[in-house]
Amino acid sequence: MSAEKKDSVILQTSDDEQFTVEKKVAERSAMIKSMLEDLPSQDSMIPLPNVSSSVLAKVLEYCDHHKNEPLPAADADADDSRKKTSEIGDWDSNLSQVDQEMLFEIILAANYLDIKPLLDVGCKTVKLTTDQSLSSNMIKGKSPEQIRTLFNIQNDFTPEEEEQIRKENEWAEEWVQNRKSDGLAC
Amino acid sequence: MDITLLPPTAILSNHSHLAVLPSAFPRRIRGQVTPSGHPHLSSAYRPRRRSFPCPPPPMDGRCMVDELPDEILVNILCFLDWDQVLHLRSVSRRWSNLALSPTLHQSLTLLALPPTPLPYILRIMLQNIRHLHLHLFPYPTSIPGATHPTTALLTLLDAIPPDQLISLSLPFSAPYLPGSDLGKVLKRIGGRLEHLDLRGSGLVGSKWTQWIKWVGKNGHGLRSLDLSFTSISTLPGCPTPTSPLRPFRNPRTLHTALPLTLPVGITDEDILDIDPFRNLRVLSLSSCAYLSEQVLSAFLARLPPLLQRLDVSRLESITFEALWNLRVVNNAEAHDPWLASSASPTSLIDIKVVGIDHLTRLDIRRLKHHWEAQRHVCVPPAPAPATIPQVAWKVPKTPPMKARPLSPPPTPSPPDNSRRMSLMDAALGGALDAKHVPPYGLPTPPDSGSSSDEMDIDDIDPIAQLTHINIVHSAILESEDVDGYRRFIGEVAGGVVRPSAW
Repeated sequence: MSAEKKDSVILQTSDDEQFTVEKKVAERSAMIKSMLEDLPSQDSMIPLPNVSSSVLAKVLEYCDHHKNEPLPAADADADDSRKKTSEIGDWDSNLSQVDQEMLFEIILAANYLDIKPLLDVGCKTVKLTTDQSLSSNMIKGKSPEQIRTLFNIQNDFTPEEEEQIRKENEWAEEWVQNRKSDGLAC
Repeated sequence: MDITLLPPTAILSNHSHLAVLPSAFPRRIRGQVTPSGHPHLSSAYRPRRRSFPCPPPPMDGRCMVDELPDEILVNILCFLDWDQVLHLRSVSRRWSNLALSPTLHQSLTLLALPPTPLPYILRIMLQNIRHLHLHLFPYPTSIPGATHPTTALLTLLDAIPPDQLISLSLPFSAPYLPGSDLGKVLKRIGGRLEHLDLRGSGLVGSKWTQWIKWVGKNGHGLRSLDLSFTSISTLPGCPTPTSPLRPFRNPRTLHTALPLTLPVGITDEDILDIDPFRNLRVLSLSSCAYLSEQVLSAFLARLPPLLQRLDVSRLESITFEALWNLRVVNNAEAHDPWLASSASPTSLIDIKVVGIDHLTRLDIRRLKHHWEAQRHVCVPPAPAPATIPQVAWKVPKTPPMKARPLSPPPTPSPPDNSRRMSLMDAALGGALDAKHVPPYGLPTPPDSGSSSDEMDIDDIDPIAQLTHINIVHSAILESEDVDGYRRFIGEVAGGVVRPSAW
């Protein structure tokens, strides 16, 4: 009985649903891990007021899939290497199948629960969608409009401000295009 | 088939040995803009993703991005190239502000010089720059209406705040950036530099040893420095080529003498300055044709204390004696058994001597043997068993092994010597063969080829860790004598060589 209790944790979501999960899975979240260290061992129910049950289900699915991987080192040096690999694992690309609302909810939950790898996967997914519309349309200058429709962003610029930003960016556009027409790789 | 016509991926798959050559492909550059919009070459290595399914936006027209806190949005923008980030400035006010946040623009790779005067955005970006890479090889592309490349480059470097850069690479800048200008720039912006790539830059002669002291002065000091393909004629702490050099005596006196007395050619002003190489881990001097034999000998005899990797490839002036006297042990008096505890191996683990024709394989083997034998004095000596009388070695008693110590298990002295030799032989056995020397920068594979029946593999590990030096070389001749040469040719050609045919 006691062993069972030790190995599992109860997570309570914002809509009062309770998830009983393996401790190993829950500890993918640095926040839960530190909470478990502080809590007395009997009382292992953790309220998560910022996370809804549908999101938590997805997050736990991720944690369960990656539970056997080593925890990422919590140092700043790792920053550089993780940015370099913008590739997403096969399983992780499932994340792009969900709709945008869920994707951003998952990113927020990953941020709140402090699951760095999941946060990165989420950010990379958003990056790839952004990237795609950017790389295909950048030259034609349509990309801002595309991004706005992609994420339902309101254009709050006055025409003058927009014009000014366009002017400020002009050199980069010309410059990059100049490079591309040269066709030199390096 | 001409492999140069194949795409890099095909070359890699067919000729996997090319992948281990560091110079086979250009260094991977982050944030570089290519027609595909991906960093250069990285797209060749990974399977291309044809289309990425976009998650549809919420139907009710809510903007999910607006609900994200700033730091997450910046995190997303971190994954994009800088020119893409600039494009996103025109999406909305919030994005416009975030796109210029300091954390986004810490590293910048430029393949062409920006127009002068510097655009406003670029000047903002340069305020927070930490890593700057200017890959303009072979010559900056001309922009319509652009100024001279030297002016444009100096304008760009002038916009960087002083003592902020951590890494800077300016490879092959000799055609448009003279060494004196480079020195002035580095004096101003190089106070915290840790990684400096000056391959093929305009460094000439010995003046640069004066200003290199400013580089990394306010920070931790340089960690890696690449000076290949430059025309430098001296190194910091070494005599200038014109001044006379004391004749070499035996290596032992050299070791003890050098730290105490300064070499000729060093002035008082220099003593006050800190050692520019105090924190140096990686140094490349390959193809510096003007480095003389004396300078190299003096430098090798007192290598920077923390140096781990040294590249002296294609330096024809380097002599076998200079390499023989390379400092591999920190306290020279360690030859004295009473002081053996103070000896420690230097950090050197990797040395590259590719393309030096007069080094034969025999030389390489002798060097490795010599260096590693020197380092063996640093292996903590086996504690002498107190109660064993003089004759006890005839009946060697192996004490019970508890926790495995770092040192070899205690044994009486005569067996100890033979054991030491066998360890060395084993270390020499497999790893020394040219075929088994791992490529530069890769960890050594475990020494499986060694055969020694009286030795535990667990025992050799800590010792090998202390003493091991990896030599990357291209020596093909076994020795310089005619017979050895003919034997080698015979091996290569697969024919039978008669001993005295000539």
